[in-house]
Amino acid sequence: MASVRLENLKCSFSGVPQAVDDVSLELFSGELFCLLGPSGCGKSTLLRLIGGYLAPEAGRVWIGDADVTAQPPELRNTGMVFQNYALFPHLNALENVAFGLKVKGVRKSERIAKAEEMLDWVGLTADERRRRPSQLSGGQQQRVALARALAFGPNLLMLDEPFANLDRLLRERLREELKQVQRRSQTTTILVTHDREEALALGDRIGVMHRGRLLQVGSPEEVYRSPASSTVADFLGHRNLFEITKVEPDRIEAAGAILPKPSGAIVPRDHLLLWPNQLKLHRERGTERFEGTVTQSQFAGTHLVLTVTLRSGATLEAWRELGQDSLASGDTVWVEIPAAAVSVVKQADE
Amino acid sequence: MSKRQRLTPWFWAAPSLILLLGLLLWPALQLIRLSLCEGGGGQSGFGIGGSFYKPGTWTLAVYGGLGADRYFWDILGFTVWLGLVVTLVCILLAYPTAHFIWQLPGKRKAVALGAVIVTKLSSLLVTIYGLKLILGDYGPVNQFLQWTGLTHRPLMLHDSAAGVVIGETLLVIPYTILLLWAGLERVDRTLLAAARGLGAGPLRAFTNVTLPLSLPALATATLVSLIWALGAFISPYLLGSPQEITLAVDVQRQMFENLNWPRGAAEGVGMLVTISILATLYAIPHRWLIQHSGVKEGLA
Repeated sequence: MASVRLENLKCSFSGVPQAVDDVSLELFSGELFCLLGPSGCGKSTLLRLIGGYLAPEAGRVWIGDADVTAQPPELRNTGMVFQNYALFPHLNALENVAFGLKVKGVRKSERIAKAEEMLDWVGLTADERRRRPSQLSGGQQQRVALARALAFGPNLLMLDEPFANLDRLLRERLREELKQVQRRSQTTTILVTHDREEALALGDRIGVMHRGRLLQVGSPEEVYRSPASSTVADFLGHRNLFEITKVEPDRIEAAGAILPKPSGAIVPRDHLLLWPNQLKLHRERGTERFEGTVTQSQFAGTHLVLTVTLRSGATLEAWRELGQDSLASGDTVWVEIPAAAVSVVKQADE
Repeated sequence: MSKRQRLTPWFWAAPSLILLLGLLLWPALQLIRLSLCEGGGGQSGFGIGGSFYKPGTWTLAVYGGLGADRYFWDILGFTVWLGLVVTLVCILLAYPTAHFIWQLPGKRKAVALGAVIVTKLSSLLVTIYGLKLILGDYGPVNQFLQWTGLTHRPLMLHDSAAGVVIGETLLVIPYTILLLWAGLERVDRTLLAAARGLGAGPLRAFTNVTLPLSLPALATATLVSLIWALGAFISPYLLGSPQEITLAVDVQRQMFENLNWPRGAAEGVGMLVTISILATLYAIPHRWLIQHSGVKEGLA
């Protein structure tokens, strides 16, 4: 199975000068790579560059050992699941799935058999296979689109926000199904999403994109635990991100709190990332504790999410297990910040 | 639903319904009545101011006369031939044009559509007289053909069937283009990208996706062009020789040159019947086209 290599891809439109700005990326054989970024960050554009639907201004696209930069989509052998699925309305589900094989000149009996097999994989009933897309639900259409993109044995599977139009429950179920189908077909896959949970849950590796640039690539845990920059941390939903205002040999100051200096090189404007599950809240004053007020308390199933506003005005989020003595809005607390709760994030890259 | 709610749509439709009934249905009934009068030229009391028919003169004589008249059948034959040929030419030329316009980016598309519509802004007469000059013996087309050496004497592009077909095509094709374009505009371009991604080259993507999805528009455009072309008047009148006469031209001739109103009216009815028959016959492939395309909603 082929891997994919992107070398310094650049692409711009009128109005979007750097839609994709010097992106290099390598996909490993058989992996599921999630490209995460806010809308308009260029992630869909990047997919279209890989698929050949757009031509880059500069850079190269390699699929396997072939430089496909100049090739049209039909020669790249990539399967794409479009955000709106783009199923052919005049063909039924089975014919949709068989389309890629038909175009390749596969005999009818053979391509029908293959299409049936793919629809077995995605779990569409015999009755549903004879229906046209307009008669299928969103989830069924999504499955057909996935089956169609895989049926002709592509070197690369691309999914553009495949779950964006589905409700949450269905999204989570289809997510698992996608992962299974992807494992089974062992097709190198790149999935584009703006949903960080989706990317973290699905990806073997993820890449975070922002304003046309690929900011960080790594395993979900790596990227989540050690964001390369505050932009990445911010996009991954880390709330407790504070700019470091002062660096002394053994102390640092951030969010109005003086803390012991973590190991490693730190410069002002780097950010402090506090893990909400590691912060300790006390009702009593103590050394190395910072006074604050609980301003919000939200139930999150296994824990409470408390918002605490410190004396300095900084707001931070702290998780508290259920069953501990309850804290309510308005209560005064003293926050303890153990060393384990502290990570340092390099300054924003802009 | 209350009575008031039920009546509201009728209220808003009333002006156009009255217009249709008053200006189309009523004259059509008049036409039929007129065709059932005694024929025979200007002497029989027809004319402005006088009554259009004599009471108690119901007769099918005019129709009998028509049926026996070779001249009438020749005209009818030419009318149908012209309608079919012009429709075919229009569709063949308009589809690539509409497809081309569909592919254009925003601003250029507006310009192209404007160019199609502009041809409809001048009077029919001006358009056809202009065409007469262009197609004339010493017009630019013939001059060019002779200059290139393709022909040695002027082609009879006017006062001939060729001229009539060219003229009528010029009048009908803007409608064909606009209808086809509107239909293509409803085809989701992502589908073409999807087809390409699945391995179809541009041609396969066209034949397997664009074409089937534009069949409803193709069907509608064909029908509209056919109806327009069957009613051809100005181009055969100005660009045809005495052999290229359509029913519409002959109706005018019978009414205002021969002052044979019943005969003119009967030919008018014949035209109506011909168009109805062809349109009905066409409904069969039309329905097939629409079903085959799988695009259920809407005609265009």
